[in-house]
Amino acid sequence: MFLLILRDLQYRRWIVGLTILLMAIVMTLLFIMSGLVNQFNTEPGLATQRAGGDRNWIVAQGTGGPFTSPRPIDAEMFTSVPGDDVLVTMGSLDGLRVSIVGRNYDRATEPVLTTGTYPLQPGDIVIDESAGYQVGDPVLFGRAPGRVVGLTSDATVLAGVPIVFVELGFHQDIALGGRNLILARLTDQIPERLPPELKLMTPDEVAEDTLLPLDGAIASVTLVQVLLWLITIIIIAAIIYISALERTRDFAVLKAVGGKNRDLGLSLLVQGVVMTLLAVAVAGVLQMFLAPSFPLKVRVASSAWFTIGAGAVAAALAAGLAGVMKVRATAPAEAFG
Amino acid sequence: MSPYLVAVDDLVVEYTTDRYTVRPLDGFCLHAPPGQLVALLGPSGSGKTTLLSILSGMIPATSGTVTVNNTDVLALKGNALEQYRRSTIGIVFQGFNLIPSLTARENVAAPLLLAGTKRKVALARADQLLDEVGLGDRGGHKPVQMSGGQQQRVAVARGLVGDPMVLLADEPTANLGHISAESVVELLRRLRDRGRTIVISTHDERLLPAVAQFKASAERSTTATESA
Repeated sequence: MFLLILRDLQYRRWIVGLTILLMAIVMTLLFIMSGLVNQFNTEPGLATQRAGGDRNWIVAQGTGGPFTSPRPIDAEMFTSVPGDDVLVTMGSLDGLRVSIVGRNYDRATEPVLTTGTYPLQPGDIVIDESAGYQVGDPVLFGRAPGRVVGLTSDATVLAGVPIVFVELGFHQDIALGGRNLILARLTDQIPERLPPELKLMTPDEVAEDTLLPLDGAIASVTLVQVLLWLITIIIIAAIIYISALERTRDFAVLKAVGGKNRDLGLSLLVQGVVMTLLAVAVAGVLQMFLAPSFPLKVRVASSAWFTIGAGAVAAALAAGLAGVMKVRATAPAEAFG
Repeated sequence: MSPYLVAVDDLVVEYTTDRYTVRPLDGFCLHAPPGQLVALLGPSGSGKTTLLSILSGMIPATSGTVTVNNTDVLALKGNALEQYRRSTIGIVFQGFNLIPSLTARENVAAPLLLAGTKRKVALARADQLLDEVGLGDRGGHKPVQMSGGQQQRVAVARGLVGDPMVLLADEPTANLGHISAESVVELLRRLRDRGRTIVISTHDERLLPAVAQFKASAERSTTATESA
């Protein structure tokens, strides 16, 4: 049986090759889409971790999360709460839209730096690598000059907006005209009692809130994924069925000389599965070259290989049943012509 | 126990289409002892291929009995039918019907491979049979690389690979030129001389003097008649 499969793949190698390429292109898009959804889902958690570690956020009642609806309030309101002050605002850096996180970083352990130092002086900034800056680069916050002193990674929000980390006083100067307003206080503890105007958000709640604006985008990409799966199934089904049609005479002959429906049908399915797995492998390589050219970070999880591989094999098996039915329906007497 | 290897009695095959009822075989009889070559004569549509399809268990009969090597062919189903096709009969088709993706030796070995025989054993048997049909040096060639006569000899070798008692050949010379046809006929005659029973359908009466011991007319409502 395996000889028949191998020889048929060799015999129809151009069609097989083109089919695999076609399936691989569609599956590459599946990898990309799954990478985008994964990035959307992962980004808020990483951003929250980069901004405040594993600590809880004490924020004003009536506000959403720090990255979605930042509403700075008077720092005096937090006097009864232990922890580190943090200010988060949206802003512009050299014309680039950024999320600015201001803190005192003298005892900071986050964000984890890939290079450089923490922003300890006014004008010092640490920024996500995706913004394309190098340590030492001069920057402008509106009219306020600054300098990149460190870089970090995976510090973006809202589908790729880079986070800029600056010293708290400098942040208040450029964003609030020097007023002593903060967004939240970061604390390791869960206070027994909070003033009524404050509330506690865990890092998970902050991440969930940060994800909310992307719900529509995630739903759209998920819908595209469903459509791509449909296309994949149709391609696989069509190829296996056409293969069965092309080989009707061969199957009739093989049945006439004692071949079993089960074996011949299985050979068709195995052939479909082999082609599908080859397409998955090609797609896995293609996406590595294609993903960097996307404006948004594409974070393909290792589990995507299994998901797409297993899904495609299941699709091949389901779609291949049409071909198997064709084999079953082929009468050996057709070999007599 | 019947003295005949192939025995067909009162065979009726009837098809009903939307508008017509067709009886390609109507009360057909044939009795062939072992080691004979039987030629089924008749024009196109006279039921020759239908009879071969019946003998190979591929289509049902309306009535009558068909036994090959004392096996009731019409009663065979499932595994027993597959086993019958693999080992009791061999089939040679009019259009060669070789698998284009396989080499000559793989085509010959295919029935054994499908039956689960080890590849090495099956291919060795195929090589032996290709030698017998004079194509020992063409085992690695694909069908498209061979002439019609060579392809038909490969098809004969495939029909013999299960060492069948009966070889059924449907118009084995129809698609061949005269020289190729004669080489195939000569091959069939040699096989008969070695004790095989061969049933061929043909409308090429020129070939009959060379091969036929029995001549069965497949005209409607007639029975097999013994020839010289």
